[in-house]
Amino acid sequence: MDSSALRSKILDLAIAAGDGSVTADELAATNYSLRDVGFSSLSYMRLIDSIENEVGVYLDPEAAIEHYETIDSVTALVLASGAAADA
Amino acid sequence: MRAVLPDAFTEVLARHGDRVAVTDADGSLGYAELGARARAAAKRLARYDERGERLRVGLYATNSVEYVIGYLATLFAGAVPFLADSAFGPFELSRIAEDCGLDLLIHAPSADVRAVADETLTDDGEFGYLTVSRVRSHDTPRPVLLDDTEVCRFTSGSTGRPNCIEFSGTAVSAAAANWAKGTGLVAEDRIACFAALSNGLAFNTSLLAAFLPGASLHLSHGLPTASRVVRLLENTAATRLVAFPALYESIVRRAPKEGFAAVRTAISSGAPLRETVREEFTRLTGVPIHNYYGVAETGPLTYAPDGAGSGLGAPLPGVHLLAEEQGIRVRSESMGSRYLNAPGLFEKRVDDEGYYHTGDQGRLLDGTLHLTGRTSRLVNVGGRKIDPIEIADVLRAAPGVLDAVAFEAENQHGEPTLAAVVAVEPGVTAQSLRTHCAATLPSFKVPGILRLVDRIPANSIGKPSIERLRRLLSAPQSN
Repeated sequence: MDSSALRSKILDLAIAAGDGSVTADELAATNYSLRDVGFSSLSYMRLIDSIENEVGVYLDPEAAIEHYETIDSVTALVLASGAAADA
Repeated sequence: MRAVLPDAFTEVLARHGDRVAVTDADGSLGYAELGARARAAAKRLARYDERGERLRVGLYATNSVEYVIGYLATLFAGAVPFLADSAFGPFELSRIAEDCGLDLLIHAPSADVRAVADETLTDDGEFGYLTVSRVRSHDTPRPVLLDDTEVCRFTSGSTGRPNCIEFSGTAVSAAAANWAKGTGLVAEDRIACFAALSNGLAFNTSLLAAFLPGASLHLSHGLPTASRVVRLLENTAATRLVAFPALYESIVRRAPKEGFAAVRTAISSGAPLRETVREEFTRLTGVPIHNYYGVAETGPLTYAPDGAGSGLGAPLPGVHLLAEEQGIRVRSESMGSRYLNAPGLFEKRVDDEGYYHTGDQGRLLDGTLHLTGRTSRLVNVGGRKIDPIEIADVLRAAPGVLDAVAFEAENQHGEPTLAAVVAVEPGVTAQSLRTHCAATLPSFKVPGILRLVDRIPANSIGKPSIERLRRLLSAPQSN
């Protein structure tokens, strides 16, 4: 999966992992910041689980907090985790 | 009055000497080593005393070996530990510090404690990666602790002021002993604890309770996703898993094939566990989930030893529980004494017979407790209780907000969450409201579902109609 397709998938998974009131438009308005749309720790758990299920990587929830701030930083983390898993 | 807990811990630390007491991702300590580390840290704490009365030490950190050292050190120094939820934000932290008259705070160096402390005290590494700061003093006199109070913990109060429950050493000790006995804890047990030690579940089931028989306690902090849980279980060959429903939901989502070979017992608390999750977890792992019912003010009350069904089990040793029409009331050996910062409130909930009125409704069927409802207005999100009135008040104070109602609703995963419907002037966005909330509330109190409207729907007598508000949430957002 290329990085653009991966990013799009992670965006879908993030919307599905939220409580239900976060939309793609709202995420776009915050530069895709999960923090700014009030992503809770329970939502993060759902997101990490679904990424691991769908992409087949292990995401360390202890990774530095900035890795989980935006859709783009999560995408970068998944790419790095996938690269580590492939190595 | 001679304190109970320092002697209790001294005895178990000596008795189990070389056994493993506590581990985390960064280290491991045997019982004797833990005792030595805690005593060294206690000496350091005693040097920080400026008042000549029992020090009040806030523990504001996630689970770690150092957390346990800090807790024991506080007891050994003759001080009183105040176990604050590390998810509390600066607002709650400052309320606690002022209301309870804290002297010191043990915290991670990265924690934002500027609201309460500006002097970091020097040490020689006795607290490991944790830091001790002196809490700024206040002009107002601090409330006096009861003579026999040895530990203070917090429960959700209203208006952002967590209520501080005073516990005698006898109550803390009885909670641990009755839990260990009632649930059959033995020296060979290895307890993987994913709930914060400041929380009643972990505090009562995993700290002194684990040490009494010589079991080992394995800690983890950060988000307990299924993958991490499985790694910890595999690394420690844990026999017990102490967690809350969100963790079991995560395991069911990920459906791990391995990791549970040694686990005999899983304990869930904090919030109701969905029956489908319980069944699927046991089907996947072969491990039964044992329910437990406890109340912050009274300690652990029941335990379901067979792990089957939706009942919460039978009363633990030392617990008298009555399920009557007016609600569940209990008397336990592990009861708190009162709220340090809310005079009279705790006492009002205890009747002439010494029973505490829990605010829960339920019935005993064949000696097993089944909850049927709550009389309290608090919303339980993932084990943390939130007062919707407090949240609505915060929202109403935001610029451009005309009115707000907060209430419990189901999110898109079928789980209870805090929702808010907010009547706003043009230009106000969900984003601006979240930012407003996040400035004064810890993140777990920011509503998961926010719906902006022109006017709050009301019923015929002008009160907000929760039914109509819930229906509104399922309709598409129009603005």
